[in-house]
Amino acid sequence: MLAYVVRRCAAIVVMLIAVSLLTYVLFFAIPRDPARLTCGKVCTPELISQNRQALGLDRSVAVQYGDFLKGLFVSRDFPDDAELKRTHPELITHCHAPCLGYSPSQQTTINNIMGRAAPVTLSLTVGALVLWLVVGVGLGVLSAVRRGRVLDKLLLGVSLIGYSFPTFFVGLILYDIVSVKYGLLPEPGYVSPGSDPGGWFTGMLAPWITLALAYTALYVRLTRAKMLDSMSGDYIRTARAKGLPGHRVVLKHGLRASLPPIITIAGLDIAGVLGATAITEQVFNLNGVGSTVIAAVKDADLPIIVVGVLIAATAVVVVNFVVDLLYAAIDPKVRYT
Amino acid sequence: MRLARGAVMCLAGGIVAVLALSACTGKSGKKDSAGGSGGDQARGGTLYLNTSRAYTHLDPQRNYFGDAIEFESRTLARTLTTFPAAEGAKSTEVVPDAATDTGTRSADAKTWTFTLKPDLKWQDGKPVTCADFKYGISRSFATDIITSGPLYALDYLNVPRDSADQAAYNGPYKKSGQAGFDKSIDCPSPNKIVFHLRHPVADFYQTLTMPAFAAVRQDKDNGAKYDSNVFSDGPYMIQGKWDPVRGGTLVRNPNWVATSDTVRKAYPDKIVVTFGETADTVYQKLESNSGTQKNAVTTTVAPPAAIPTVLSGPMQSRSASVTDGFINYLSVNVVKVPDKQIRQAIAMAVDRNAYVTAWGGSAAGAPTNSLISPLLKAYTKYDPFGVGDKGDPAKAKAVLQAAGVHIPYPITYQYSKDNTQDKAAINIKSELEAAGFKVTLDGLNPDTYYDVVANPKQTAELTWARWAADYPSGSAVIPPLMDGRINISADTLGNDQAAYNDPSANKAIDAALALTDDAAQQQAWTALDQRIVKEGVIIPMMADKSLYLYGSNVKGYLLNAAFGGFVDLAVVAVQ
Amino acid sequence: MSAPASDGRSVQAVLDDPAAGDPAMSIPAAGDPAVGEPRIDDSATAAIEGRSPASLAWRRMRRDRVTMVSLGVVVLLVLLAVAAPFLKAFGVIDPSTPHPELVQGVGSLPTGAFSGASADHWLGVVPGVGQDVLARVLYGLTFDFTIAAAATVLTVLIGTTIGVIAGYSGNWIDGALSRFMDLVLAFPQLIMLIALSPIFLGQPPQNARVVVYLIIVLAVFGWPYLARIVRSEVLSLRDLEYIEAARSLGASKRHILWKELLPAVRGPVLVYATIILPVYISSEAALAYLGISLQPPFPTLGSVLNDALPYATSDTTYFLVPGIALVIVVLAFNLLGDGLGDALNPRSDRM
Repeated sequence: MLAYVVRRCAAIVVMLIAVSLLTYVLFFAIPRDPARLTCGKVCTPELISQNRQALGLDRSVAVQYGDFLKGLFVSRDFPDDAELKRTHPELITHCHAPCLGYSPSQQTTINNIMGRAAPVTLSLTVGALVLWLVVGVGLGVLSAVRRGRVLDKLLLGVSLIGYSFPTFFVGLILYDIVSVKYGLLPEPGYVSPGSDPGGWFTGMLAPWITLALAYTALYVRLTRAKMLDSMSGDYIRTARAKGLPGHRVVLKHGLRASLPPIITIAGLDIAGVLGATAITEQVFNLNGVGSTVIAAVKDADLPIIVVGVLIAATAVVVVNFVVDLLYAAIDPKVRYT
Repeated sequence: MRLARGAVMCLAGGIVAVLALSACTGKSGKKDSAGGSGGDQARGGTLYLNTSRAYTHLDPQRNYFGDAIEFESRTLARTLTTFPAAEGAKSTEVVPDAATDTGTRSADAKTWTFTLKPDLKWQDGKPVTCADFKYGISRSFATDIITSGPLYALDYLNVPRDSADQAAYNGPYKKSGQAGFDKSIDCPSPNKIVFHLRHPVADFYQTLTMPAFAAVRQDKDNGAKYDSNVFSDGPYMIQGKWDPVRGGTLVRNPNWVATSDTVRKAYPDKIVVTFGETADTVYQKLESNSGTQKNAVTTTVAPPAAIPTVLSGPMQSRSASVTDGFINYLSVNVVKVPDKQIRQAIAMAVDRNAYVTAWGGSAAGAPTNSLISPLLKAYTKYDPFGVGDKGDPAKAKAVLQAAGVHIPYPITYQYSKDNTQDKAAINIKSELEAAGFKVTLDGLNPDTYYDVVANPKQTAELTWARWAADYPSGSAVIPPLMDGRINISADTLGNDQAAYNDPSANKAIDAALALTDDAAQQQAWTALDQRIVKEGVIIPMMADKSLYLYGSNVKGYLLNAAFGGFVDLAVVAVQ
Repeated sequence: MSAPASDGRSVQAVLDDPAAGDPAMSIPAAGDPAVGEPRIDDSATAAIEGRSPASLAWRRMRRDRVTMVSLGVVVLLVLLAVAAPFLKAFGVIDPSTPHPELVQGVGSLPTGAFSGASADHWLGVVPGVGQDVLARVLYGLTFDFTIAAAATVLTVLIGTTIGVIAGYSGNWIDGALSRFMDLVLAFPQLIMLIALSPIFLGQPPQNARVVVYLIIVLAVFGWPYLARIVRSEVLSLRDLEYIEAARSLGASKRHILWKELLPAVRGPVLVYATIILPVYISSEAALAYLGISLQPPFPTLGSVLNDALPYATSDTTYFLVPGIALVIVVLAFNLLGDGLGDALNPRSDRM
């Protein structure tokens, strides 16, 4: 197992480097002057050249990428001007390692911005994940066990309809109509769980439901399909023939066989989830990574956008890595590849 | 002033004031109207200000947006004079703020003297002096760093001119021509200030209400970054970091002396400001009235989609509305459309009623034919082309045909893009096409809109704009917008999107400015307004109204017309 | 939204090739006849004549009422989408003409219930400007379909090509291509649609640019999902006997590719395409919600929705109509994709 883990770690590092390199090339090696995409709402020629200098955009992409990599280990200054540091030190912003960059429009390090935003996104994503796994798998099992009956057909139908609603539409209905107009859901908003756990929970309810809805629908169907698959296996029939009670058969054998692929798919879904998360944050005005990137797109603040993309891609790679490890832990055959 | 909101024109003086008063006073839902529930406001609590468009420049010399000006005037930057916290016409009766009175002027209105009150203190306890005011005003001249602000100081102060008739002083950072500037403002003692003006300005005491004439501490000035670090002499000060894009928190300034301030009551302990949510979101939250929203106000006008909800049932009692003095108008560029008949055809074809409908109906504004707001003395109601508010595309087409041009005549309409403007634009397009034009719609990014349409290379035949007078006079409408000499240069059209630079009109402007009789001057503006409209250069469309919603705990809510019809933070309370 | 995971079956192929790129999984590939119970296909045994897999699939589908209804709806939607520009040209529908006289309610709401529904305007009019909602929704469908269909076609072309090459070549080509797929997959499609927009689109963007941008970015970040499915199909087929037989008979690689492999992957690709198209339409709607869409007077379903959203409480009909239209489109395609999948990979114990 250890050898497998080490091999996968090495593969990940390579992948992350490739991801960051590709991101840099995509966003900075473009025919348009990247400095024009950094000055937020008020782009004057002076501001553009000021930003170009502050962010080092006048250097080649290779050097910029190198600076970025170096910044992950060594702290950086924006602008990186020794002369200015001497004369006007208050105009220099210091960015501690690991330094993600500097936003000229918000005049602060991206570490600060993302540090504020990350807990929000994490709360939203993890909470929704728990919700859709629990409800989705639970209802999926139910549906499989009651295969062919009314409940099954109902669940299948409702889940397909639920899957067809766009995330932002669901979110707006929950916000404007359900929460504001009829008061059936608590007012959405983020408060730190450390300072107000109750408020955090109620504030995240509507966003969690929004994000989880489509995936719950998916997982009901997925779980049902997997359960039916595994329940038709020979060993299950043997267990049934031996006279074990129905529900034990279902839970013990069916679920255990179904869970690994379900978890794998959950991991693979992460990429799609991140997109839906950004939209959900936007609808509910949560200051997460996604809405920060969306705001940065509206303001044309390239450094934030780039870091947002990097965070998303890194999350996908890391989650897939974790899923791989989990899978290897469950299924020994995998470790020898 | 531009865009969202600005200082406005409810008039003081005479019979007209009574008429203006009834036009000005908005319907405030509270029964005891003026001043809100006068008397039961208490100190304490946190006020939440959620506004869509950020107050990008809190640097007083760069602040040129009505709501930002009102915010800053009431919390961070005192000026020699200010507007009182009152509704309607009363709000335009200037009162002293940092000064002891509204100034002593010389007979020729070129020299103005003020005495500063004692007990004016910065947030670190140091006294506010004449030198601080002088330094603050001098920053307006550093136009390379202190951008986007009002330029009255450059025009009014008696600073030597250079060969291009511009002030030969470039600010306190580069200091070229500093001696010349220093002569225009005297500090005979730390608490006395004397202004020497270049030409008579009878209403200079009104100009001084703008934050551009506020004091700035030289040792706290950090140039282009001052937007985030305003050092306060008002009842509040910035706590921690202020983000010009996202907002921040204001807390009490411990060194502000309440007795030195007759206008600001500073009831809330804290003001939390949030920018960036869309107007729909701001109103969604205000409508829900839950949690912190009970203590919330906004300077974002209710978007059309929210108007029906705001004006319905119980919500109406926490809403208020006012004619805010902004005029929505179209400019026809005289360089791109030099033929007067074509311009007149455009003016005749448009339907103002449909335009008002697109913006949200009678709660959003009223049709108008004048660039001057109905609240100003210089306003008259008239029908330049005899087509009424509805317009007459058939008649317009006849005029276009008479002009002898190839039909359909192509024009592009540029406007600041959002959903409402898209709808208004569609109406304009369909009306103009019925009159024989071929219209291309070009909705531009709102954040850079005015920069683009002011650029002679990028501007179109027909462009949208919105303007309110900086102070209640036609002199704050016609010259800033239509005087080509101060607006037009090689690479910009300034506020004169129509590129109008008619020598005889310019002469008429000069003549009007030289008039010392107020009534005569306003009449001169009326005449100029009608002339410009009849030439098809400007097509006024709508006189705006603002509708606002506020939280149920908010007391003392009033809309201050002088500042642009925004909620007056001087007297608002949450307890 | 995660494209391929609409149900377990189409993802099984993905399972064969998780991010680790490990092919040797114990889970069987989709369509592997060796797995599961023997098919119970009465129609095939009753009439003893050879039928192509396609007609067999069609017969199975015909028996599924729900799928047939969804097929009908999809066909109708496509016809409407194609017809809309012609309907507009002939004046049957009019998405752009304003009717301010119809929106004189408070706040310029349509006068009359259900957003001003009437004989002339079946679904009411747009508040503020009075345009016909039905016409705008129909016209918007056209753009959405065009963009989504083009993106789907492009995705299929790229994904199938690379998937087949990767699956069939084996060794280092497969390894490199799979790594490349993993790399692209790390970038979430919707995030990239949003993040790349300031670079390639002006503000506000020109219509032609938006169309090209949407199609290309959707395809560029969407093809790996399909490529993976195709690859694992090819992997599982590559070593099957009939391929070996063909090879031993001297068939060229190209013959095998065209005659054996491509027809075999047709099924999963078709199912995938049916499922991915509504996802692309949803992505376009999400972008329109964020304001990245076509300018007036061209309505897209997404931009109509974007305008309607603030009217949730004040003009609920107008708020719901484009949203429900979008749901119907997505639902119809999803049902169809489901049905297609069932028809092509019959598992009677699932029904």
